[in-house]
Amino acid sequence: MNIAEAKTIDLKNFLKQANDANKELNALISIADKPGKLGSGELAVPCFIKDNIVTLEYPTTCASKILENFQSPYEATVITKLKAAGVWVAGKTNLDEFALGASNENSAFGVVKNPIDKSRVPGGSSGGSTAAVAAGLTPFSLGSDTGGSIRQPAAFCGVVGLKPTYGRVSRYGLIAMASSLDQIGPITNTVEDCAQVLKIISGVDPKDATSLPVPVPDYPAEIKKDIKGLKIGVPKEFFGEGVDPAVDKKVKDAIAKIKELGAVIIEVSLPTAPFALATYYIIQPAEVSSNLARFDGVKYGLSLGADDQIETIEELYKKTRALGLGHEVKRRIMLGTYTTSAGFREAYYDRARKVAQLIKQDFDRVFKQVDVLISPTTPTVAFKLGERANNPLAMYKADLLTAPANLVGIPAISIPCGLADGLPVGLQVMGPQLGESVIMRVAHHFEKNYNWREL
Amino acid sequence: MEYTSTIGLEIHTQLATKSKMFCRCNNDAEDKAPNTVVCPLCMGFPGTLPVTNKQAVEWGTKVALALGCKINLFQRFDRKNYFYPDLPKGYQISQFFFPVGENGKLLIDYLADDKRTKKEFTVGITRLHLEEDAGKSIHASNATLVDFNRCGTPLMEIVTEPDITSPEEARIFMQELQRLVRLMGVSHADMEKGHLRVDANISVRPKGQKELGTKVEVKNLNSFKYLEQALKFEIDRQIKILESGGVVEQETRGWDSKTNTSISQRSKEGSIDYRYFPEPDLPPVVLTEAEVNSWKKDLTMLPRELREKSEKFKLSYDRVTELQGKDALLGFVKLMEQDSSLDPKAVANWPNADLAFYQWIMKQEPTSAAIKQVYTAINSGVKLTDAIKQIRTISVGELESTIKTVLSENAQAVAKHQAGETKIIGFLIGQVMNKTKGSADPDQIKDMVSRLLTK
Repeated sequence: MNIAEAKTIDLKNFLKQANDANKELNALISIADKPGKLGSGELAVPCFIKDNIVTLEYPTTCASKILENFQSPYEATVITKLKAAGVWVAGKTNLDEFALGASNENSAFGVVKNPIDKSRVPGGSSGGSTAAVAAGLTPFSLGSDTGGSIRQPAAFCGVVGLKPTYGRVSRYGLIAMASSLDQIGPITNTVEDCAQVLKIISGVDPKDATSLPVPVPDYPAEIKKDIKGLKIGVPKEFFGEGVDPAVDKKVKDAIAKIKELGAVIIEVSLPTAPFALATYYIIQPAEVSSNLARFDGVKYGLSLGADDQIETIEELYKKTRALGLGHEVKRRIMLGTYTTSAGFREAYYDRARKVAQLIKQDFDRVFKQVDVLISPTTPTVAFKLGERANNPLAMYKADLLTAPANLVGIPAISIPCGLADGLPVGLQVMGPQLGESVIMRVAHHFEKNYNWREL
Repeated sequence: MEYTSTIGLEIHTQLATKSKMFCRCNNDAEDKAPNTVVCPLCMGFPGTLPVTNKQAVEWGTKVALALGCKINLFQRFDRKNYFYPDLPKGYQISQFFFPVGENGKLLIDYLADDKRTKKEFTVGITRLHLEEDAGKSIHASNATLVDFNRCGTPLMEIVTEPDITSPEEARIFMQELQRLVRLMGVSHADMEKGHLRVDANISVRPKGQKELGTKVEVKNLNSFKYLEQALKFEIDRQIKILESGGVVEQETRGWDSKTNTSISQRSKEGSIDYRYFPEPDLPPVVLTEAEVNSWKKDLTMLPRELREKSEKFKLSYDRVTELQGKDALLGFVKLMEQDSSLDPKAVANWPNADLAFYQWIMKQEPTSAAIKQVYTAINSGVKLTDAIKQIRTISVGELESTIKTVLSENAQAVAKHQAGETKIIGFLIGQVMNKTKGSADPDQIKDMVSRLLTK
């Protein structure tokens, strides 16, 4: 279902279809019990939103027990913007708890299944959002991407997912995972739809001091521009070792096709990029450990307080957090607490910040030579449910090719570019800061000229 | 054995900005019901983002300038992580790595105990930084209640060098700081209300010993009196320990104003690792030289300058400190700067009136009784011209001619006086008072009558 089709949809059928499909997919945490009202704007369609973006109409759970019944007293800026454009938010989608995961298996509300192959994961952490779009339950969804959480599940489910430039979209109302890396972005079936949604949710927000005071281009018009002569960089570090050969091949085939459309292909090198994943897994848990401290049972959410015979405040904290937070969340909090502790901070957190700076310089240099960079989105196609559940390191490697864009703060989009063993392969286009137009332009022309399901 | 004490202070001053440090909540929570001056941000609700209060940055920088600090043009906020129920985010936004200002000093002059001599001492300012206040925990018998109204109030933390050598100096420093922030109009600085709070680090060592003794931190000093008392108590306590051959333990102690003793609260082993790291939600504050210089130019009426100026206007130092104690020194200097022909003694005698009042004294030479009447009237809101109309005033010239009349009418009495019957002066004064009907000051009449009698 694309946006144009959704404009004429019967909302009762929409809800029924979603409820039916959800029984198997488990993509939704909340869903409206009756049809709501569409507005009169350019985006008068229903949608489902990742459940770490706060709404007034539904609880916002972050797929965590600790926020199981949490009702936000305010709504996110992106929600207000969508409503103004005519959107009706029909429910909230499942995710890895607090957006920590790459398979959507870390949810207090259960595992989400990949609609393409239900024995496989949809990817994460925006697994519910991508599954809902891929299954045709919603014309679009909003996800959040800290290290690949929009692009990786988009690749696994065969849909379009974009992580904007850091600061392009307001984070106000996005429950923070790693504040310096988080961005909200669209998940859609087509690049055109992605451009339309991005145009609506972008722009400076006085409530987010990190949002960029830069005008929003007319993305749907921008992406139509020709790609003849565009310089496409192919960074060799994003291919080969660690990348599944079938994925590698599909993406290289796609690059050849983009060349046929008139783009110039240039091989480039980003020697620091291989350090991005390790760097990311220092910075991200550090911020997680601080951002998640507020869930302490004192003010809102789960609280094992007076009723449970708590003697001291420490007991309240320990019991509430022990019961309320899942394994992966605890693992990240412990990692982040360690790397920011006195005596360790210089060796880990401070050094990781410096490495991130070097990686950024590397990308800056390459973007003087080329307009965009193309790589696979993920090293593999969607893996089996449970396959990596007990191997956190293998799970973390799913972010290998997506995390650099977050560390550098640049925009990146994933589109499907073919099938490997019947499963979608994601192609990632990365651009310079605020280069959303050009990356969507490349993606749009590929999508328009080739049917990925036949590649 | 004689001992030397070494004292350093850590001061928190609430800034009286209109809104809070990082949200738009009213910053004036005085007399408001608990938890009514709050918003999702200062309550630490998930998804909220801080936005820096520019006024607080300006005021903080100005105070740092007034304290002679070197201003950091690059200032950054950091997270200070710890769990406490009145800290709703689980971290306090503070400045650790790049504070507002560093390496300042404050030269303070004060009136010695003899009430005549001017003494001076200098206190180095280690740093001044900005942060947000926490909420207030109210400990009831079987529960702890939290009021978040204070949460997010802008705070200036000022840390001094251990340059203070006595409890008296510590008090004088705090009083000077209070005057400074009040004159600048940046804080109400009321210690009883917690606008101005101080913790003291204190150690003692045998006189002549170079190496400092072990320091003890004393908290909960919410008045100038308690500060002085607690430091005296602590010096005695530490000396007693040393005299008896003991070792002073490094610890935090709290002052108990009921028992006038300090009580151990926390030993060094229990100190917290705050895991400081840069606040990712806030861009750094970047100031320009020009901006800082223009703020520097605003700083003209600081306490020490006021005292210097007052002395230049020929006011004795004890009168200067007396006026300062009445918060009347600024008015004095302003008036004298407006009209340097004014009599500084008159202005000092009748503080807090306007220029027209002193000009009236200069021109009309009213009796001190008349001045007092008018002064009382204008301070109760009566207009000067009306106040003058309401009283019967008599000028020095008029008084003199009235006395001359009385003397000529009572030649007999004058003769008796000259014959040595000096007591008769009382009769003559009574006659003058009858004629002037209370419009002249009895002392003034007495002086003038005796002067004219001896002529």
